[in-house]
Amino acid sequence: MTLEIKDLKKSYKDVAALRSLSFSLSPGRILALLGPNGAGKSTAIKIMTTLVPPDGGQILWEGRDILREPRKIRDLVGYVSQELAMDKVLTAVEFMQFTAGILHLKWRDHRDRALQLLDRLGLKEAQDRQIGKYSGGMKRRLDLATALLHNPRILILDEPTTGLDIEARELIWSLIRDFTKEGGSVILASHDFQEVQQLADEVLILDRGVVSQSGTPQALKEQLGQFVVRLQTREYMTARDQEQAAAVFAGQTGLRVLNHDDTWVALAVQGESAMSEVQGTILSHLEGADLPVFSLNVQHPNMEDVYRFSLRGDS
Amino acid sequence: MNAYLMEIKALSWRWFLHSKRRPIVLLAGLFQPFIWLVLFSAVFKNSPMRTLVGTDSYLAFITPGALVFTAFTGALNGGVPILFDRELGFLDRLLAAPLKSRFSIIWATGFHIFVMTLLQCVVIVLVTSVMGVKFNGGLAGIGVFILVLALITMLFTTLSLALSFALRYHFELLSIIMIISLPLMFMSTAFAPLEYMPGWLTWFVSLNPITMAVEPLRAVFFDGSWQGSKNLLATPVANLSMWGCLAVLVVMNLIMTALAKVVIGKKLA
Repeated sequence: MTLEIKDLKKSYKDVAALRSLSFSLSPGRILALLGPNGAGKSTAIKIMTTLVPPDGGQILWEGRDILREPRKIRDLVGYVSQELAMDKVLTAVEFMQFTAGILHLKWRDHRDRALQLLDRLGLKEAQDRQIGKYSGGMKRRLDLATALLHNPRILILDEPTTGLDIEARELIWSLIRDFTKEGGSVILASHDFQEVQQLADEVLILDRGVVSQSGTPQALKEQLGQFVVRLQTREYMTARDQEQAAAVFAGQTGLRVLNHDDTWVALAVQGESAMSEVQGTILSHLEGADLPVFSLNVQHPNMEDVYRFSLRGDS
Repeated sequence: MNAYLMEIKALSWRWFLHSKRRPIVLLAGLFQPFIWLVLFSAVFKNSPMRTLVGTDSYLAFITPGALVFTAFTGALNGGVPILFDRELGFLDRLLAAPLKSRFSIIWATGFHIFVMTLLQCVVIVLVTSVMGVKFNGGLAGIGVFILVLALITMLFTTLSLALSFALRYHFELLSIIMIISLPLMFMSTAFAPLEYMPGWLTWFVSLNPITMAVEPLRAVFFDGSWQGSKNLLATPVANLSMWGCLAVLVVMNLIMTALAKVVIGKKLA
């Protein structure tokens, strides 16, 4: 079943937290929500988990607007929140049993699945230990295990791997991938570009409550250019230095100034040139303008570039 | 088991696990009434008021007060863990779950508090009976005893839970608990009979739910031939029997529940 989000809106008093959010998500796909703090990600997640009612819009599942049936949404969704909101007094097994209870699952029928999930997430040895004695990483893994207990159709993950070491992150990523292989859909809010790169089939960048960019990671990177160049004409560039350097490339065919208000000047390079060719062109332009080169970095665009330049509205 | 009962069971089971793992909370709830029982009965041992209360022991006189105090403080603190759940984001986890009714969170909390209160009160009754305070109310008296504790626990649990949804931080709730608990106890007949109080105070005492709980309990404790219709309290407005006191408690509960439903409903809707 495809999940369709149509024109969700939410304001808090006079502040528009979410102006308009629409997307659709097919089974087995992972959609990453990116955006700076205050972009509307948390509001969107709160609406999709029924914690906050929207001012307008629809959430369609099997053609029905399930915003009118919030319990249906809660049945469909497994939610891992950004906060590690666990009960420290309970053990992991007790916490799974508690979760089963509030999900109306008979523990005797779901105990094996709960224990399998704990085992899969590397918590078997600690399953009878109180959660208060768990590390942050263990709590995150347990959080995911509880979210998966009732076999949800949609997983909503709000920064699920924050603070985890690489092994724990990869463990969680593999579980998320397995979930999608079984037909589940995932909405992933993250600030981790590597995570987005690794997992996302589609990316949606939110800025000030609206979608500023969306598409597959590959399409978004290609849209930015073949290469992204970062250059400095001196170690600490002043605004004047940046403007001077940017002016050199303004209007040049196949080159686009992405920004010149940081510690460096960024350019997007279009076309099919080789990296060495691009380097040569940039250097010759700077030489022609009699500007020195302190550093020059040419690379294929990554998700961070897409995100950074999308928010600036320059790409 | 139906889904509604299933979620209440799970939610209250969590609180019982807390009580089991942290028995100090239960013990602390017992410690204070015992201190009051021991100290107050020692201080007022020779006071003439004992001649007025149908018992020659001040310890016996204040035992029903200590029981109500135990129920009252336990209930008044009932909202604190919910407020912690709110502050720590745990409540969101519950609200994102497909509960049949979000009010199950409230029922489960209330049930846990009532059971814990009853446990504490049974311990107090057993210990005070060893100290010479006998319960004379018979089986029906035990029924009244449980009913009174249920009504007073429900009233203040509802108040505390409503406050836990109306306030933002636990320290605000703790401040309110601190402000209201002592005056409510002292402006009641828990420690002294109404006849010993100045006229202006009798108005407050007569409106106080603690008084409405203490008087029926005192009657079933000491009056082997207690009757529900017998006058227990001569308030400035009217004489109240046990049934009258219980009716006032029921009405207070209904009003409190209605108010709390509005406050809590806004957050749980």
